[in-house]
Amino acid sequence: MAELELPTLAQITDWDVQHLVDAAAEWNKTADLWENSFHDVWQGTLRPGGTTWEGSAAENAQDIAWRDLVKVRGSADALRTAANIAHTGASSLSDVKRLALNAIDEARTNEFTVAEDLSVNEVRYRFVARERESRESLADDHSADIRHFAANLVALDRDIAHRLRATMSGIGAPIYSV
Amino acid sequence: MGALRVTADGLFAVAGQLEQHAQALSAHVISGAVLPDGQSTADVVAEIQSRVDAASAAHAERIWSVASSLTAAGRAYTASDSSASAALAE
Repeated sequence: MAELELPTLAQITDWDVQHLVDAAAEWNKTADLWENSFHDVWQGTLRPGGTTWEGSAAENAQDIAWRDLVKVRGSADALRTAANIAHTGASSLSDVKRLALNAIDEARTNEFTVAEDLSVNEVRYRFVARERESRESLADDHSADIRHFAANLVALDRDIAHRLRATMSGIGAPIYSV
Repeated sequence: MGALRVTADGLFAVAGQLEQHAQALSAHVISGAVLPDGQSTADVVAEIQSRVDAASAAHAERIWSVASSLTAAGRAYTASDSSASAALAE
């Protein structure tokens, strides 16, 4: 597997999941709109104006309306699946972003700077010689933590995108009955 | 008023309701939101939004078509009813 390109410090700080939250809400709303619309079509053919409709024309219309409803329900379900992936994905991405930011804060608390490329650097200019090795080791630990969570953020974003893409084939308009 | 006319009026009423559904679906556009750069999820969200809008438009067209068919069926029933009345008057 190719190594992930790590995000910059600014990209981590600005990492946004609102598009997933908004999409999840819109997709659920749209799935309801689709399903309710075609449910009403089917219901309308059963009792137009409250009167039972019978005969070959009625049966034909009711059959077509029912088959449309079944197909549209399939698309609506796929859209709700995508909405669920987006909703839970946004929450997971927020968690990983928080872990990455915590790792960055921890490095700063220990008197290191974190650069745009996520390198961790010493702030102190003077310290006793015996501290040098432990400070370098601590910087390496902070760097590893930050890079770990940054890589997780990118990997998770890609994984969510991959799972969303897998739902797409079911979301398009169905081929309607004739 | 006979059973056929009742059915015809009902079909006209349903067709009117379906036209409202079709209009709502036609107006339901969700793509175009600002999406973050450099995130894989943003790209796929944009693709799904476009697909959803295309599907909503197709659903609207389908319901327009059904409404039109029901209106035509209602007219046919009305014409049959009129023909039957004329036959009885002869």
